[in-house]
Amino acid sequence: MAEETWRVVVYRRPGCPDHRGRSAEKDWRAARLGPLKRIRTGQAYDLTGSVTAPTARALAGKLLVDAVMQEAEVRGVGAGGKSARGFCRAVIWPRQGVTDSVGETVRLGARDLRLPVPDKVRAGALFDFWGAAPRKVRRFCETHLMNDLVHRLELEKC
Amino acid sequence: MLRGPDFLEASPMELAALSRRRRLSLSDPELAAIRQHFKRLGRNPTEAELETLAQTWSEHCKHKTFRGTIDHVERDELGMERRRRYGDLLKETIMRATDEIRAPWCVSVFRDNAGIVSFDGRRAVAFKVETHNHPSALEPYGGAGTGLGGVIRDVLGAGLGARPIANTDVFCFAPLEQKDVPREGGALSARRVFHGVVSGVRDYGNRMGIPTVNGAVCFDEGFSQNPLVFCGTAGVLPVSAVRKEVRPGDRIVMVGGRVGRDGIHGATFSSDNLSHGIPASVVQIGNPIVQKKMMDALLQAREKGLYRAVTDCGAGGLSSAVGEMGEQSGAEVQLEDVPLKYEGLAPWEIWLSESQERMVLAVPPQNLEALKALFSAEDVLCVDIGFFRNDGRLRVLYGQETIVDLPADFLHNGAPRRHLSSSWSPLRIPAEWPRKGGRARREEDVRETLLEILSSPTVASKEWIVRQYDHEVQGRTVLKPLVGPAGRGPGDAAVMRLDWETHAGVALANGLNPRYSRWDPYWMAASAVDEAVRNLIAVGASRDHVALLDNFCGGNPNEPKVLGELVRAAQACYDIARAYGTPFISGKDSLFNRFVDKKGARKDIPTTLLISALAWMDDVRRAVTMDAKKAGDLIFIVGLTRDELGGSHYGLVKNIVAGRVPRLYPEETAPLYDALSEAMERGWVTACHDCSEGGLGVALAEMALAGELGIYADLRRAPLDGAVWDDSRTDKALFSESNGRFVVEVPPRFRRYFLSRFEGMPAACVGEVREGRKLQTVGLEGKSRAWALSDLAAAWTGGVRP
Amino acid sequence: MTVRAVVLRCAGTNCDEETAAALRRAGAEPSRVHVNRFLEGGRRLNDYDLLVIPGGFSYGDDIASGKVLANQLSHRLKDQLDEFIARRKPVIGICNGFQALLKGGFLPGRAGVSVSATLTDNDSGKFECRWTFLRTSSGKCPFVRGLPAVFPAPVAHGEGKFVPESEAGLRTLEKQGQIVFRYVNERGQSDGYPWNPNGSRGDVAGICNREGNVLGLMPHPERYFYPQQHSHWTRIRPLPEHGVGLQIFKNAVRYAAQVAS
Repeated sequence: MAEETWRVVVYRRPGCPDHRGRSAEKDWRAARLGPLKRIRTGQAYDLTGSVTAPTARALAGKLLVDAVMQEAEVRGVGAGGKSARGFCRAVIWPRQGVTDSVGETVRLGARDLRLPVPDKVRAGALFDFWGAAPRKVRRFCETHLMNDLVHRLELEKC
Repeated sequence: MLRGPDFLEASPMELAALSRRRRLSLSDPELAAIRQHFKRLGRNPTEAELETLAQTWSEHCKHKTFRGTIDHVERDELGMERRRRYGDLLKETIMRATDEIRAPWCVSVFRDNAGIVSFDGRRAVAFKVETHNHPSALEPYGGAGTGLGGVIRDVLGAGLGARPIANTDVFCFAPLEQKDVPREGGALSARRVFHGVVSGVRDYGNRMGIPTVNGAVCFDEGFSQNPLVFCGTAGVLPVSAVRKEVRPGDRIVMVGGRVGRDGIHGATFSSDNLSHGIPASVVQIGNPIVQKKMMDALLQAREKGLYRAVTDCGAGGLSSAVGEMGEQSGAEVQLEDVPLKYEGLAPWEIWLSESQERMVLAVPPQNLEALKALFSAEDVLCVDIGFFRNDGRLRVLYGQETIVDLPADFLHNGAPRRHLSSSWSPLRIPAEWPRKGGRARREEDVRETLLEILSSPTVASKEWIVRQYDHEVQGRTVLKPLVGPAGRGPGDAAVMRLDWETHAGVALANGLNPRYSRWDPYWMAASAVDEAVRNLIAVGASRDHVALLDNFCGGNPNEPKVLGELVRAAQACYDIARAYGTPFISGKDSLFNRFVDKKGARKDIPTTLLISALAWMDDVRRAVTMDAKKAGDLIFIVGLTRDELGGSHYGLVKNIVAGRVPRLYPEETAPLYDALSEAMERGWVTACHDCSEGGLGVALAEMALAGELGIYADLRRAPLDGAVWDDSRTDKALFSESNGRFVVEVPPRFRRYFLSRFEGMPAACVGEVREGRKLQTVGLEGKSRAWALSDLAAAWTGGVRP
Repeated sequence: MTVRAVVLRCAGTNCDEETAAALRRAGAEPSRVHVNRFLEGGRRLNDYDLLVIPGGFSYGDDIASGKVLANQLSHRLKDQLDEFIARRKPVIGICNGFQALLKGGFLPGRAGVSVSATLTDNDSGKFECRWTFLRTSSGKCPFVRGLPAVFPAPVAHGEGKFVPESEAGLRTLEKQGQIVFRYVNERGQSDGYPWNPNGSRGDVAGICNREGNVLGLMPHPERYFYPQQHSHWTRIRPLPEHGVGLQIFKNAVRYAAQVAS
């Protein structure tokens, strides 16, 4: 099977409190980066190797998502064609070689659920920005949310 | 084999260039010593050998400064010179105090990964405090977390392995509102460093299940870009498990995590300034669950007696761990068996990697299978990587290729000793406080000043930080970091019960005040020792069962003035430890904490000494907390207040650099502490708080706030030095930071006994605890001043905002 | 008879030693056993009379607190745990243990039934290590026998906020007597933060299953089983002989003995 990567993105359901989001909004305003409607936070998991869409969805439902507080999106990475969004999505990944204990735990969890175990799992911190200029989003991520020495920023086209 | 110029034929200049290119931080004499060794062998060193020597001889591993020869000269205000040559500064100060005190309960000092003491001959306590400053400046969360992970491993590697029971954390940061200094080589803003360090240590400590029970957060401009992150761990082990030995033929076993390129050049890196272009491999992120699992397995293996020696894999990785353990015997290591995080590591990188969460064991061959089974049952890696030799040679192989073949003796003792110069002379600082038009301070000023000091960041309440750390896991924490009915008060020392069978335990405390260095690092150090000791006395411990640890942090020791401050501080450590009879059992130093800004201006941190202290307590049920307990109880001030505003927080908030720095008079304080310990032993004391930053004013305020009760204190009755009394200045009485003082709460029925025990010593009843939520003082000029507790609380809790 | 208690541990479990000590003092014979021993088949849950899942950071709290352990219980140990519970043997989940039982579906309903509540981030967004008070709410659960109506208890967690799927769900739990402990102030009243340290709906600190033999609570009874563990014991005269937490373990041990005989 070709090396496919499926991405599971998990975030709070609407109406559920998002402390990291509120905290990030406060920092944005203190940094005077211009207009911003809101920030939503969550996690992103990239599952690679021996992974199909059903596996990714099963992992999402049984392991990665809290049924009461969260919801998820599952899609292939590199599938191309972004749906119209209205927000700017940033994911902050640990750099290659930096400890990613969460990724390892996901593989352990898949084993427990008797699902096919992905060869590799990377876990990253997700930030969705509404009503902000893309340039400012990048700046905010670089100065407030990540350290270039250990993190890599992935900014989807807004 | 080494590429590039032939090492044997290279000129000293070429060798120096090579060292710079490969970031080896080897000095010219060191490079010459290496060349001489290999010239005798008739070959060039391999890449791995060069890297191994650079790491083993690095400042971080060898403490070349503190153990080198130092020619020290001091000049006083009159220009009189005093010279002294130290052959080995550490040995002639810190260690000498311990040698001379000869405390029978010092079981293993300055030898193992941590200092080990035993007060009952049955249970031993290991204690170690370390810094992880340079990595924390680059990557605060990961650097601080791995710093804690490292000191925990030191305790796990003390004796045959101590079980960690408590963490203490002391942080020094730049003020949070400080405007972002232009970024240099990845250094971050003060606020980011602060949050990263607090979170990093929290997450690692909480996940390891070790309670964080004592600490401090200090703010000073001198720590811009150079945060100091002191992490300490105390652990327990049976006395029978203190001895460790390596026998030829024992297998070398690595346990814990996998190996990656983490921290390559970490040890030598800390000898350079923070500058542009640090290679990304230097920074490490920890995995506390891997370490927790390893700890669980290790302690079980210890109980089963499956190994003979253990050490942690810290700075310098396997090279350092195996090198140390095999110092006498020699060792032979096969690197291809080492489990890796990812492909592509060169053999020398595997050998020197500082990947975290690993320990190295010496295992008798017959125990190997049982050991592997035990670790496997806990899902922990356990790999046999070689054996200890019997001929003192260190050989490292990758497959058939030998990459290191050095005599262990040359590796550990071949570094030429450094010969340094140091000097110190006092800055000219006015001894007197400036006066406004010659008039004494107005009443409002003193009122306002107390609130200003309470809200200054170092003094302000850190409750919102402390509550992020689990301080009760393991169920042994008898005196917690926050005391009082609402848990508002800052405890002076933590008290940990050792086990559930007896009521014996240990108290842990710290002492630190870098501001005093500007006046005189001797008194800075003396005050740090005194602060740690009096914090222990304040909870009911006594002076005769106290062990100390030193942690020096300074700038560039190649600068005579910087080194001079360290020397003076070390001298005070000897003097005071000796006077108090409190031996040092372990210590560390972190040098080269400096930063060169874009304009080329150099900033060294203030010479900072953290003293950590541990005391035995026969019965933790006798421990005393600092919160005011009962209206009607008397308030005593114990200890003399002198005119010592130099370096005080009073000076800080008023932006005044003047006054005499607090000195220490052990002939006065030692009997005073003994009397107080005895009074507490007899149950005459219901609350006790030591005076430190902000003097009597802050101590009284904190006691009232913690106990949610009022306090009345007439300062005219306090033990005051003549100079303070004559001056009639209430600000001096309230805010002087003289050492050796306590505020003590005594029930009225014990008044006579208490006073008679302190006969001839500076101790006096100044007032009482009252209902009503205010602090009320009568000043030296007879004026009454009062602060509502709510005003004090507002100032105190507003000082450091998340 | 000696009550054999098992304190279940896994990677990241922290509070097992003191939990075992509290159980020993309560009269049980505790064993700390790694979950791998049960997964491998070397041991069986039903060899024991009482199960306690202690606090800690199982699997690092990765993904979500207690989630991975929850799946191990609900997918790999389901039969054993279902049987243990069906036999009415007592089960206590403390803090991380509560999270695992809840997310595994063993609380508030039967195993395998979809979860109708969760434990999530504290409202303060931070780990909270503090003391509060609990009011004992349910009489049906054998663990509360002899407990004072209001008593002090310590908490230490980052994800302790109890959130039922719906308000109706919360009311059902109340009606069925499954709410065992609520966060209150020293006068026994609901009083917001910090007495409710995490924002739990209904101030819920602990719940039990319908039969009452499975208890989950966020506060740590093993951190108050001897008097000097109390947050301000130096102010209390006279000191009680034991911490209130010990009573919870004693009740569990007594109940386990009854069930076994």
